[in-house]
Amino acid sequence: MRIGPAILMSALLLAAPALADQPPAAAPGPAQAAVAPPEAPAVPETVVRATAGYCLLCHGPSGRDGAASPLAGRDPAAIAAAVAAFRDGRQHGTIMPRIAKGFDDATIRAVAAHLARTP
Amino acid sequence: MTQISRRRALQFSAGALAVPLAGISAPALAAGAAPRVVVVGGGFGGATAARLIRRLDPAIRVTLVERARTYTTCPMSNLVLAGARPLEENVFTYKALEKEGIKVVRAEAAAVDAGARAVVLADGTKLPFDRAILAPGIDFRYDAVQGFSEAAAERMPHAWKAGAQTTLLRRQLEAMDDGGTVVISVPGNPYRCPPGPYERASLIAHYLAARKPRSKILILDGKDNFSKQTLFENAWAARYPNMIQWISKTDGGAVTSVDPKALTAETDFGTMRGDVFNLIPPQTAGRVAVASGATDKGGWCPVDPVTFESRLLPGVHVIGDATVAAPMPKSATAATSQAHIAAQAVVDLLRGRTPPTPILANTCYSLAAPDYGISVTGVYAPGAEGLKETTSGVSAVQARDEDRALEAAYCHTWFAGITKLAFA
Repeated sequence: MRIGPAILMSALLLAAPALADQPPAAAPGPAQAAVAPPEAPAVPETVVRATAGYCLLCHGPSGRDGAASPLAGRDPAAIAAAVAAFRDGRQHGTIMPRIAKGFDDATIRAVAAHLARTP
Repeated sequence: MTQISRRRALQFSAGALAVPLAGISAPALAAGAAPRVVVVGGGFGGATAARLIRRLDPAIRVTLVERARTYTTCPMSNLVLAGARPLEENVFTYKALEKEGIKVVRAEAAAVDAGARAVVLADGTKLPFDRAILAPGIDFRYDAVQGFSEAAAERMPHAWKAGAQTTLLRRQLEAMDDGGTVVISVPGNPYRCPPGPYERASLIAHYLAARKPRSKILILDGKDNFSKQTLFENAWAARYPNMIQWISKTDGGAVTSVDPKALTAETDFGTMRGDVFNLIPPQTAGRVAVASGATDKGGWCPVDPVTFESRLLPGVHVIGDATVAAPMPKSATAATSQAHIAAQAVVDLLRGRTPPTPILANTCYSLAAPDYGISVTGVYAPGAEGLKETTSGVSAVQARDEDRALEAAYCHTWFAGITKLAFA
């Protein structure tokens, strides 16, 4: 198996088992909505693309040894929930807890949706 | 538009280029002429920006001016110094960029003439542009250390631009006897890759501990603290006890003059001699930025934090190590983040759109040993004066061995990703 137990334990993979530990109730309510509430300002496409590009530096298709799982084509709700969990201290990690603090829910959702559409 | 008709359109406008077009005007753009962007410098920032512009708007004609046939990355070059990686794995070409329709001009850019909207090459050729991106990286201030020069760097390598200098320093380390002293002289801020000198000390120590365990490393520093300091010092104590000594500026670490023949340096601490002497000199924005008038008194390029357009040269955007972008560090990830923002701003401005407020981000991994990774991360947004840090942080001081190993693995994944984006 390519993915070692230590890596799974670290829960940095945004892997399905880790996500399963997060019941929907634990996530912030609006994060579960498929689209941002109408009063929320749209996240500019420029910001979404640049941020997705930043994510893909480590989480690109060239990920090796199971480190930093590829994100392209993943379920956007799962990506967004995992990032929010890192940010809010509900998930152990090495670098994602620090990075996630720089992004609000709307941006996280928009970037996750963009990553899901990335081939 | 089909691929063929797009290419035809490009050929058509390429023919028009032969006619001198001093300062193409907005009406000409509106009339449908393909906008021209010239990128100067094919490092992480320049190569990435050139590719992103082509992807965002394939009608824009993109030229990349780069003097070298290949690019050798500084990231991962400290592993080469440790003998843990062949330098060839750090070498990339511009073939993929050419395949995507970017015109790669192998030439030295002398200056950007912002008034005439043209990049002037060393042979006098002018490349007209509607917008330009300057990504010239750094050059060395050889005059800042008495006795140091480009020729002296053959005796006291900087290895701060990867390539032949990396190989030279590696050979010197290999030739050094057990019990020798490696001196690393580090400049004051700002300089390329703030944690780089300490990663270098770590990985050289990794090599020496295995092969020449009686040797020492002496870091002479031009400042009183450094990036990820506690993390590095803890790693040194754990992995290379008593091998690395760091002398701060206050303790006399700043090097004022060197004697390359004797391999000595004068500091307030006294005369220091190294069996191998790695002098990382004080730096400035790349020569072409200085020649173009894009630099301030400090030698770096001030930019608008929303578009990365030069505050001194309208129509010219500057990205990467050459910029004044603090609190963003001079790193490959920062340059790549800035390339995203500048590329999109250039396309927006050429198409008459207002660039939105961006978010920028940085991650710098350092290897305290091949299996011991630590990182600094930051997220940034424009503020009143320039960029402002939204959040930042370094790896936990207390961490499990497997987390350090994970971050070392991430460092390799990051390198694969960032070089793929720029060159593959």
